[in-house]
Amino acid sequence: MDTVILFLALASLGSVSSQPIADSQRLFSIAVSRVQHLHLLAQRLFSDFESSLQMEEQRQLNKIFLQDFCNSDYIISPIDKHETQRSSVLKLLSISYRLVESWEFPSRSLSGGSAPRNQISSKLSELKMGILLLIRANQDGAEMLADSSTLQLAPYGNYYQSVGDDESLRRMYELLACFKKDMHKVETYLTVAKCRLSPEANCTL
Amino acid sequence: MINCSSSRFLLLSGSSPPGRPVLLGCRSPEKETFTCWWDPGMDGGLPTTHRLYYQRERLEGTHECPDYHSAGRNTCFFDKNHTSIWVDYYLTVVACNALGNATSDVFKIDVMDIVKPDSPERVALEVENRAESPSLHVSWEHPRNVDTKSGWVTLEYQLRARRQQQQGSNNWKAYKAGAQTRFTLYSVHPGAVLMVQVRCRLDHGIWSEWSDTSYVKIPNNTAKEKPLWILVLALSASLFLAALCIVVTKRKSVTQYLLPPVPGPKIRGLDVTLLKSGRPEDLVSALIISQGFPSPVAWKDHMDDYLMVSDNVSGLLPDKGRRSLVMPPGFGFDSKHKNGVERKKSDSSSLMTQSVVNQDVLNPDTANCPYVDLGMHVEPTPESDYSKGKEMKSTNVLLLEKGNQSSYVDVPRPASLLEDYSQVEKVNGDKRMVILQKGAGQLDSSCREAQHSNRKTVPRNPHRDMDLIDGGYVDKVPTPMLGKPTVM
Repeated sequence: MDTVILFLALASLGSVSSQPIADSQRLFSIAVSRVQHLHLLAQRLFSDFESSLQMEEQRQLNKIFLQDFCNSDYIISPIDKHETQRSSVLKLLSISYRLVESWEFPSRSLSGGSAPRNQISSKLSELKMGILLLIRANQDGAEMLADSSTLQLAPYGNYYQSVGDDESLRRMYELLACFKKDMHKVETYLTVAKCRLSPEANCTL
Repeated sequence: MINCSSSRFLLLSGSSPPGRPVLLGCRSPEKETFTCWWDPGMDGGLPTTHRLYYQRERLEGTHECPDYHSAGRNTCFFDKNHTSIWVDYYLTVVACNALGNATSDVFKIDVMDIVKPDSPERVALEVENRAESPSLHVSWEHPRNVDTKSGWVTLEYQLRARRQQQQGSNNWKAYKAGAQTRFTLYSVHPGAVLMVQVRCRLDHGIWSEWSDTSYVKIPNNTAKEKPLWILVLALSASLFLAALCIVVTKRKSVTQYLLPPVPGPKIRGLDVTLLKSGRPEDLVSALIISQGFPSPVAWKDHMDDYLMVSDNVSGLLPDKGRRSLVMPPGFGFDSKHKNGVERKKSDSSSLMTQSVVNQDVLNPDTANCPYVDLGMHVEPTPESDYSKGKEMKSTNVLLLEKGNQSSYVDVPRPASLLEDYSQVEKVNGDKRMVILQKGAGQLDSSCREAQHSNRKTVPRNPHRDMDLIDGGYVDKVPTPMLGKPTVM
């Protein structure tokens, strides 16, 4: 259903549209609701995984590992409210796009949850498409050239395939935690961007 | 900065280095600042200071807590400039006194995970008093410190309500209000006092505490609805009474409909209705199939005319007046004795009573003579109604069977007892059965004489060749019977 809406939006955007703001708002609403759903899904996956751990495993995971990192750490993104509000809508959209794209393939190795892995992957693909539409709807030629560096594709590599068996539990834990964090990021960025473009009074700066 | 090591030379009794502090937790109420608190532990009897140090992802070096006072004792408040989200903080608390210091374990947090807002504020309740059913409008405001304008956070509210009379925490009914700050309850009980609470959460994080309880009384409008209810009750009561009357007056047909009579078993040849009367003669009639038999009514008149039965071989006749079995009229016991024992099987399935009389009963002189005489009822009944005897058991029972033609009763006897007749073992007046027993009755020559003498003295029935014995009649068929008295 949402795919149909996206296609219709794309078709309408392709032609000269007289109401770009209304279309943009509708696309934003769709994208925000989808990312909220993905964030809830990530939260549930993480809590299910945590509750399924044994006591011994939990103690091991609670040890502080300073070398923990996520696959998306190379993507520079705002980490507080002030920095986020200082960023442009397009920057927020492009960062969101990269974050979602970075999870498109690794999400297939996420374990647990009632939804199969390919469902998460397909949802991410659809969200990516929606964000791309929003980018195209909100950019002009000049901005596209300036931020071309931020549109580089993420290096996929063999990051998640070189994991040993004894570290698989650790990696899954980190994977789920990183997924949850990134979905929260995208949700926040899209909400701020939508609010920024909204003509409603209670959402302006 | 206090140099804990310089105080080493202070020796105070009862003093010790401080115990290890423990970081208990942190919380961010609006996703912009956060506060952490710890348990100081034992101070060792000396003035102890506690300091919080932290390291942060994407930030070089170790830093100290920016604010120890805003949030109270043993807390550290991180303001907006020091708060970052989606990055890990590594916190430690160091307790220091004159004798030493103690460091807590490293406490790792991400602000994203510790967001718990304050409760919603100013919960207002308003009753909309409509005629059919009142409803309750609930409205509230977001927590004061949460920024809802910039889209930095997404607030979600939840409401719960219950009646004040009901006790127990599980009586609360929860409702999801989404991002709105108002909600309408429609299922309210008139006259009840409702308790309402609201709470919220940021970005699907941790729920806040429930707001203070707000109370409201729903006005009671049932006075207008009473006449309607009375009417409905009266109507249903009258309908119920009408149905009850119908059921009571027509209970028979209702019972017939609900519990139809179960058909009883049908036994061929058995008239069940006669059995119900309970009279002995009816029992006999019920067992009769053919209509050829005379009715038992006439037979009843001659119930006196039956012979006594006893199995006393010695020939005692205690009571001459004793009656033996009754024989239905028209039945004759015809026995035929030849050289040997003949046994004729009856092909009729009906069983007739029979009476076999011990000769001892009939005549004391013939007490030792084991032959059987049958008492016959004198009646101008068809002579064709002879009974057919059938021995049930070889030793005991001799039963008569109805037959259409004159038949003979054959009493099977073993060869050794060829000379003996069955002796009556038992008389069962109700069932009209005479149980014969093969006894040790010996044939006496005196029997024959007695028999003959009996025959002579008994007046003859013009219809039958009967002997009168003790008031009864014995039908004798003048057929040779192995030289034995006639068994009829």
